[in-house]
Amino acid sequence: MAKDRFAFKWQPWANLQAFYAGVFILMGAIISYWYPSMMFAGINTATALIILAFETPFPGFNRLGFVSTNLYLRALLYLAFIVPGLPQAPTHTGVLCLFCAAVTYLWAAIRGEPEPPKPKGDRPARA
Amino acid sequence: MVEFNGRLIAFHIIFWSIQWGIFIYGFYKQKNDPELAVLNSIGYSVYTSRGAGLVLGVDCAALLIPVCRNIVRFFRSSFLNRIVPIDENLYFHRWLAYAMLLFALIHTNAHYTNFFFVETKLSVLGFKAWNVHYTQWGGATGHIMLIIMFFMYTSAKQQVKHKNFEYFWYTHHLFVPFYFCLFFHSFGCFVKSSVDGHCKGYNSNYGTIPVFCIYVAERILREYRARQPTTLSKVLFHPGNTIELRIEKPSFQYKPGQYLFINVPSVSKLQWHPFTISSTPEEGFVSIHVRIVGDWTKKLAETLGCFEKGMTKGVAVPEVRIDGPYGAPAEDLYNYRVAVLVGAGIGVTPSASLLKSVWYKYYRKAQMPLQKLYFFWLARNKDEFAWFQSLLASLEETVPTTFLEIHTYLTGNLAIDDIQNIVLNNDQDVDPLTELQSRTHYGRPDWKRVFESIRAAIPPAAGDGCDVGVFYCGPGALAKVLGKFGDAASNTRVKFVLRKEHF
Repeated sequence: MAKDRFAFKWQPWANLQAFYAGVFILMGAIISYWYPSMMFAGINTATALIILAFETPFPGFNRLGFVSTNLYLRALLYLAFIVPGLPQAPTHTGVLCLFCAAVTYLWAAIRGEPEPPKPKGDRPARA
Repeated sequence: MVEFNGRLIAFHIIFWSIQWGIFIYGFYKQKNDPELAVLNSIGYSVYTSRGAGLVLGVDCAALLIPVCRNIVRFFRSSFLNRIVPIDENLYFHRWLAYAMLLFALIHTNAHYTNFFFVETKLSVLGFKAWNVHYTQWGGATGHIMLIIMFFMYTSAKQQVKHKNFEYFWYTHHLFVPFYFCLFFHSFGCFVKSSVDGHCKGYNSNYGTIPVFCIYVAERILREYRARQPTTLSKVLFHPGNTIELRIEKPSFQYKPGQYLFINVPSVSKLQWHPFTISSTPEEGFVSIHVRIVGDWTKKLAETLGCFEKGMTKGVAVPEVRIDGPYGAPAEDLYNYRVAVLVGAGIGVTPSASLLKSVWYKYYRKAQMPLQKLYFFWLARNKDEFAWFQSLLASLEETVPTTFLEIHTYLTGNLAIDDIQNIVLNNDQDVDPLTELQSRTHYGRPDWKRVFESIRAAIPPAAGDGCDVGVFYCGPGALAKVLGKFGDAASNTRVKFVLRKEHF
């Protein structure tokens, strides 16, 4: 399936979805510092930064071997990151987007797409 | 990808000043409104959310205008094109979208703060935060719009759009529910005057609804024009994985260098793809050269029987629909005294159309300001030269080099057999690769030398301020290179103006 040169690859879209979900969660987490329980703000800031580090990709985060290349693991990790965002309103939109990203990563993983090597800079994939 | 220049800076300064100006206006309008004192007691988050909301209302109305292609085409030939570059309409559309993203985040996060305070500080109103979030018209439609924006934006990025246009196209049509949510965003009348209870929204519907209707009318017009009688008369399969389609459509009037959108229902019912027209009106048909790069083009090739071995019999001619023509910078070629055409890869198609037009004009001895034309064709592999070899050969025969200079460059690596073939045949009259009289260069052009020699060749007596139009179609990276070297070679006497095309 994924061997066909012209086949659509879901991984780049999942990458973008997760990146923007990370941005939304981060903004929501910052707002929620003013909410009663500061613990959630702290946890969500951390999860958002981890997501952004994986998806940017921040130098070093794409060289963690199995942790950074396996798409199943990434999908599961993101599903887990949804949980701390649920109790407070500001992070709701972000976790809903993260859910979409996790599902897309899962779909990419099921289709057997490999995590492509990250080129330097933001070069779009050549058609 | 637009070249970095004063016009661009001016655009951004004006654009962002207007955005933040509207924000500040909305901010203070809310703050100074006595009828909304109850809500205003919450503080800055209310003014922020309303200011951002006002910007969003304006942006949503403006967003649809740059994608009304027929309106854009109308303004392209008006005086407006000298003030703002109408060809960069999609750039404007994207920046409006980025501004919308920024203000949507400001608006949403300010509102989250508001709802929290409504529950805690304004408990007299009896609203819980989650109640406003999800059950009020504003909250519900707002969240739906955010999710839609999430999908629309992520699928519009190049990484997704170029790989599978279908996902981008279908996802982008979520704009229809988006706009309906926008129309009903203030339906719940959450923001009420404390004096007489009337709704105090932004009245943005007065702007967004008419524009939405204009866009719908534009789409209807496109559909109507596309359904005029059209026949696919010929299909040629060229080396280098390229198909040429020749279409006859009597109602289609075009000029060389323009482009069209094509839809082949048997390949995909709803997808329309843009391609430059590679023929001239004198030929009596419309032709496009399609390079097979993605899923739609591959399926098109299969439908047309291109992958069948041997003679193809009984391949049913599929129905095609074309929409257009739409203007592109290449139209203006003849207004320049000296012009340079640069085509890279499949980007050679507008050059092909223009060169054919030059051939016909020369044949008819037509008068035109154009006195010298340089043509640069950059191909990665030698198969690509086959697309227009016969055109270039007949141009070489009929048009003198004092008018037209043809330069071909092979920029890719060569196989050992090809190198041997070239070496063996290099002493013949014609070039071994292209069979033209002008010799093919190997490797990329030295643009600095190219521009400087073009500049030197322009006689001083040609007058001051000779503008040389550099018409380019192809990958964006080369556009930057051309812009850089063109600007470097420009002086007071000769100025290189880059006119580039991209979809």
